[in-house]
Amino acid sequence: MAVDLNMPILIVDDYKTMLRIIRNLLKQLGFDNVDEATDGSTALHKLRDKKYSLIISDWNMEPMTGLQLLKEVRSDTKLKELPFIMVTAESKTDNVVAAKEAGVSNYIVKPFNAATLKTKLSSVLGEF
Amino acid sequence: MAKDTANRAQNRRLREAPVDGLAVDPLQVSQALESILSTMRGDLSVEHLAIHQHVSELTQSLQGLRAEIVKLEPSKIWQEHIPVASDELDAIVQATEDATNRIMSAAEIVERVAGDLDGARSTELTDVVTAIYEACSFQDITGQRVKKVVRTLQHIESVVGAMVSRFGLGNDDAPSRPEPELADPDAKLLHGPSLPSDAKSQADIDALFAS
Repeated sequence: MAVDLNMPILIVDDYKTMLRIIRNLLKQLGFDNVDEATDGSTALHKLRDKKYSLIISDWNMEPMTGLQLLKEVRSDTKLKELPFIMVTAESKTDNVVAAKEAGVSNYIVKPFNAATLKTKLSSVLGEF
Repeated sequence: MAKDTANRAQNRRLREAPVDGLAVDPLQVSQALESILSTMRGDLSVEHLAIHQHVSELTQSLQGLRAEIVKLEPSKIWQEHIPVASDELDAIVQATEDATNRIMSAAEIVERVAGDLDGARSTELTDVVTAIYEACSFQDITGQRVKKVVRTLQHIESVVGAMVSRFGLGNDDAPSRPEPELADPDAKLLHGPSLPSDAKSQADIDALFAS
C-alpha cells in the first residue's frame, strides 16, 4: 500500500531549530502535514486530541522525556500501535536497549542526514 | 568533668559521622584536636610527647588548610565566576541559535527559488539546501553540550559551598543545591551527546537495534 504523504505527523523536540530542520526535511520528502510539540507532555495532549500516523520525538526533554512519552504511548490502548521514531543525541547502548524494550519503532542518532531520515521512515511506513 | 563529658560526646559524634566525601567536619576535627592537646599537661611521657607533637602538627595543618581556602576567596566562585560563566554559555547558545535561524531562513528562500527552476539546477540547489539543513543541527548538539557544562559548574558550586561550610568560613550566601530527586527512574539514561571519540554511528545503532 502506498504511503500517504498527507498523513499527520507529530514532531517533538525542545529545540525549536531542530523542529524546523525536521519539518523542512520532511517537507522535502513530501510530508507536509506536520505538527510540533516542545516536550513529552505537550505531545501527549496533542496525541490524545488528534489522530496522528507517526511521531518523531527527541529523548532529552523536560518535564517529560521522549522515553517517558514512548512508554505513555505504548500503554495507551488508542495510541499503542502508533509508529514512534526516536531522534536523539543519546547514543549509548543502554539508551538503544531501553528504547527498544519500550517499543520504539526505529532510532536515529543526532546529528543525522536526510538520507537516514528517509531510510528510517521507509522502514517504519513502507517505501515511498 | 564537664569538659571530659563534652570531649567524649564530641569524639562519639566524630566516630559516628559518615566518612565519605566531606561528611567529616574538618572544623570539628580541628576543635577536637585542640581539646585533646589541652588535656595533655604536666609530666608527659615520651609517648605522650610524641602524640602531642603529631596532634599539634595535624591541628596546624588543618588551620593552614583553612587559611589557604580563605585566601582563595571561595565565595567569589558562586558570587562571580560561576554566574559569569553561566551567562557567557547562555549567550553562546543564544548567538548560535540566532545565527542558525538566519541561515535556515536564507536556505528556505533558496529552496523556494529552487522550486521555481527546472531540472538539474533545481536538484542541485535543493541538495545544497538539504546539506545546509543537516549542518544546522549542530545548534541542537551544541546546546545540549553547553547544558552539560552548566550542570557540571553547578555541581562544582555545590561542592565548594559544602567545603566552605565544613570549614566554618561563613558562607551564609553559599548556594544550597542538593542533587535533585529524580522522579523519572529512567533519568540515569540522560547522558547528552557523546564525545566524538565515544559516539556510536548510525550503523552501530542500527546493529544494536537489530540484535
